[in-house]
Amino acid sequence: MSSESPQDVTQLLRAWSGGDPQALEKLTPLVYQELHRRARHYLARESPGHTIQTTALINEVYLRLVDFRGVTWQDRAHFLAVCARMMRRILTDFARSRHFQKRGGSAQQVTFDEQMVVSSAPSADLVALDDALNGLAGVDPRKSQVVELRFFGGLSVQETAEVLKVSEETVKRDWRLAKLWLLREMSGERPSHDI
Amino acid sequence: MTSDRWNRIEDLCHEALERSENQRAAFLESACAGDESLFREVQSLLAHQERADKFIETPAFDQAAQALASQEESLRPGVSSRLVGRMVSHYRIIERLGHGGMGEVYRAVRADDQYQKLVALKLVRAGFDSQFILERFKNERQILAGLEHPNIARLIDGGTTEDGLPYFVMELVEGEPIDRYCESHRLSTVQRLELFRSVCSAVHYAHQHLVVHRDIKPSNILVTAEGVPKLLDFGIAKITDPEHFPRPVEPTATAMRVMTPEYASPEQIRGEAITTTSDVYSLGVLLYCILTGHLPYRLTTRAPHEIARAICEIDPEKPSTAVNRVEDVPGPSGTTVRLTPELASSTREGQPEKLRRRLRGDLDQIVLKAIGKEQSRRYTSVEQLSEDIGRYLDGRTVLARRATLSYRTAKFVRRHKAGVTGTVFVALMLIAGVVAIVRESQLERAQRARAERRFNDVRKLASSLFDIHDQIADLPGTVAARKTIVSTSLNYLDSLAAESSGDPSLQEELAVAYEKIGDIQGRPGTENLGDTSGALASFRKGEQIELALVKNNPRESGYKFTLAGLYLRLGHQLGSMGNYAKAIEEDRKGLDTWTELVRSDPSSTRLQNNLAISHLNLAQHEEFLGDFQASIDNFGKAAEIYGRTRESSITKNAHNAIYNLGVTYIWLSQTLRDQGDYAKALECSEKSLEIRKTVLGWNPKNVRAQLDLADTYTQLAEALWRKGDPARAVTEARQAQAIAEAAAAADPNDQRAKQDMADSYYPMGEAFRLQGNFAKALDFGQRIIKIDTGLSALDPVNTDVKGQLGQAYGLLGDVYQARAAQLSAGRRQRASDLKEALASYQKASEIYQNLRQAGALPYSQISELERIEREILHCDAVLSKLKRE
Repeated sequence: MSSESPQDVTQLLRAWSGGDPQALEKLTPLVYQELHRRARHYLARESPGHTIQTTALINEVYLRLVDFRGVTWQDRAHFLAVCARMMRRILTDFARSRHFQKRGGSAQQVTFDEQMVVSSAPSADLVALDDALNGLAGVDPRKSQVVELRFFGGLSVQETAEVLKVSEETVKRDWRLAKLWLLREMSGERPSHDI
Repeated sequence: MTSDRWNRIEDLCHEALERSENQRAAFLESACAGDESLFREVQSLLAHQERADKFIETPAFDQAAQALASQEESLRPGVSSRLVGRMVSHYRIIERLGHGGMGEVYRAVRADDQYQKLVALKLVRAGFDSQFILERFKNERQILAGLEHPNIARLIDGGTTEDGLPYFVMELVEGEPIDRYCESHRLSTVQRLELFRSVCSAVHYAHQHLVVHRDIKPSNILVTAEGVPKLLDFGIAKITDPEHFPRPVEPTATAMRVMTPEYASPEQIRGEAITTTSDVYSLGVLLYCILTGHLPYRLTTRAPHEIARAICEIDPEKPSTAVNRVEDVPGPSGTTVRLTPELASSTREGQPEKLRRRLRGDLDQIVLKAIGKEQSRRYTSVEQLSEDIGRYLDGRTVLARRATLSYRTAKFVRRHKAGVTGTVFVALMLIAGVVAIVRESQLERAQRARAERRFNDVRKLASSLFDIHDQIADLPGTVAARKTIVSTSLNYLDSLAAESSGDPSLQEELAVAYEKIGDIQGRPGTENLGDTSGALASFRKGEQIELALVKNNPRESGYKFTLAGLYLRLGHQLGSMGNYAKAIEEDRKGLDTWTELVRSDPSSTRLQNNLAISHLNLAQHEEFLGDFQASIDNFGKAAEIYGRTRESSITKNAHNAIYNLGVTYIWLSQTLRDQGDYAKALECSEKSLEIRKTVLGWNPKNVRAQLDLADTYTQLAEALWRKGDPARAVTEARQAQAIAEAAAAADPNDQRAKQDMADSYYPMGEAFRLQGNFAKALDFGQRIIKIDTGLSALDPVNTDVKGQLGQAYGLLGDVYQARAAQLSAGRRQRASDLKEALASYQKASEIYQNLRQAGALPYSQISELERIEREILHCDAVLSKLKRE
């Protein structure tokens, strides 16, 4: 991959979580690069509907980016949280810059959703999701974190529980409710006045 | 909302979800027990249950990658689009050709046209219809409408679709990207250059219409089957005239561009202002690629951030070196090709060595100049770049070649201004340039055009020296660098001189080169390297060559001119070495030659100037020998000539005349002073002061002008203390001191600054002595001795410094003697001061005696020697008397 070794990336992540905004700027191209690699992978395979199992994928990305050997067990949790936050920032920015799935006013345009044959899942608008997630953090910070870790960070239920120091059952319950909340928020049909 | 309530909502949701769908409503109604808002809250959340199953289960990363993939898929040329077959205004869309930054391009045909002419139709890309994109799109249309050039895709039509989206119709260019075209047609280097020049003409044309393209890369330059390159995609082009397009570039657009930055300039990467020289840069990278097949930087990956860093930080390899690389480069339709020297040359010049030879030298320099990191180092315009390639194709000397040395010099100067002391390193860099020329000459020697080439080499060397000298001579801190240049250059000249004979123009160039080197070595009154005898030797070498030339070509006034210049320098040089009789010989030869030249061309102010300088030199040397009448006479002639040229000539010559008049007044004031006419001496110094302030005003950073001014203040002080005005003498001398000390501090190797420092101390010491401030007087005397001893060790044949050293010892003797004579001095103090005085006088006497033996004691100092001898006797007598008491 790049001249940036996994150790460098680990350093950059530490620097960023320590408050150095420039570190993220250096990390961003690395993530983009992986993103394009992964996209090419999909293009090459040309098998619509096929999705490889998800956490395996993101783990592969982290392994390529980050040197987890340099991370001690007790701050691994913290570290994964930083990774998740990094992914959230970078991917949301990426979506913003690419106008991902942003529909225009005209009906005759080809939207990306229509061509999302590779995945049977309805794709989320990352930008709208990011906004909704910020709203959720105001209501229930832990649920927002669960989403950040699982969706943006690609962590499994078990890893998420480990990071948040709660039971796996709690993660599952949070996850389920957070999704409902976010969907309602993003649908714009929130009836309630006081949430 | 309280957390209790939120917890309650949460619990209810989970409990409801555990139940089957048809039981949920009943469960909730009983659970909420009339709390309508709670019921609605939970209900609204549960309403999304069905979608929630698959929602965000795929990690964002994967989702983004999939979206990216499908986006790229949809943008592949030829992929069916719902627009195909549709009508846009009068045009029927046939197929998608590709996409630009924000638009999609379709092949279309004008439906009502009986000729069925094919066109390219550009539409805003689906989903990219933000206000910003629409603005940009209109901008491109507006730009294209103003451009009519055979190498720019022409705008045919434009309008708005039924949906209100802008579109425009362009000439359909069917061809290959320029890099592929060059490869598939196996164009030779010359053919590639010619093709590239057509691209330059298009970009230059756009620039003339105030349009900067900003996205020059092979995929935006298609070459038609007829071999005509066409510049496409002005999608991010910018109208440089802010009145027409005041909107700044949106950061997102810039960020997106960084995704493929291979052709972006450093300023583009850094997000700085982009000008026409940014296009020069991109064209340079393009040229690099089509000539070598490689990018200018050796990269391990093509990751955008790494390319960006290379562009901003790494010095590019020479194209002739880059072709040695083995590198994986993108090939046709997404493949990767392993590019080897053999492969690269197979489509260009045949063999790798042939390709390397072709690129080495001129083409290397042209490409490197185009892709300079700093905009100021690049060609100032695309036209200039194109013309330089034209010069190369015509076999003429290219601009970029000469620029290398001045670039190095400029870089050196910049480094210096930044206050970085890397002089030796920089000197080596400068030498590298000179040595490269030497080596080249050795290689060429075997070849047919050897004489001509060597002539060029010498000329290059001489002119480089001029360049370097002129650029750095007046800057502090450049002495060490110049020393190294001189020694290397001299070796080179000597070897050439030994071999050259019978070629008058080469000999002439050699003589001029010797003259220039002599100047740098030790021409008095300039920032020289203090190597007086070295300078004399160089001038003599030049003189020998030139004498033969004049003898064999008596009608060539050019040779006489050079010879006269050498006489002038020889006289000056000998004078500074104290050999006044010999100096006057050279001066008279010079005067005769200049007079002859002036007679043949009386209108030339340059010749007039030189004649005046001859008079000045002669006047000064006559003065040293005590021929005051002749001296004042010659000074007068010089002043008269300068006065005339000052009035009549254009700025530069007037500047020279004014400058020289300043020198003349100084010298005249010295002569008058030595004759005891202090009032007139003061008058002349004041005239000089006024002139030299003017001269410094032309260029306040010019060290030479600064030191000239310092010298004038010193001369004023000299006249003043002698006239009996020590207070004002100190004031004036302080001015000189400040200037000289600053210059010496800025460049510890600058001998002239040190000299001027010591010179300013002398009147100061004398003035303090007169004021009875013996401590200060002694301090300044000792400082002079320290400086002059150092200077004399560096340049042992310089008799001026020795004379000044003698003068300083004389001063010390006078101060000690004066202190001993004070009424307040005790016997012991008196004895010790007298001993010091005696020792100082003896030192002074010794120095003057040596000078006299060498014939280098100026007439004015002979009486000083006599005085000192008397002082010695006096001190001796008083001391013996003291001992007896």
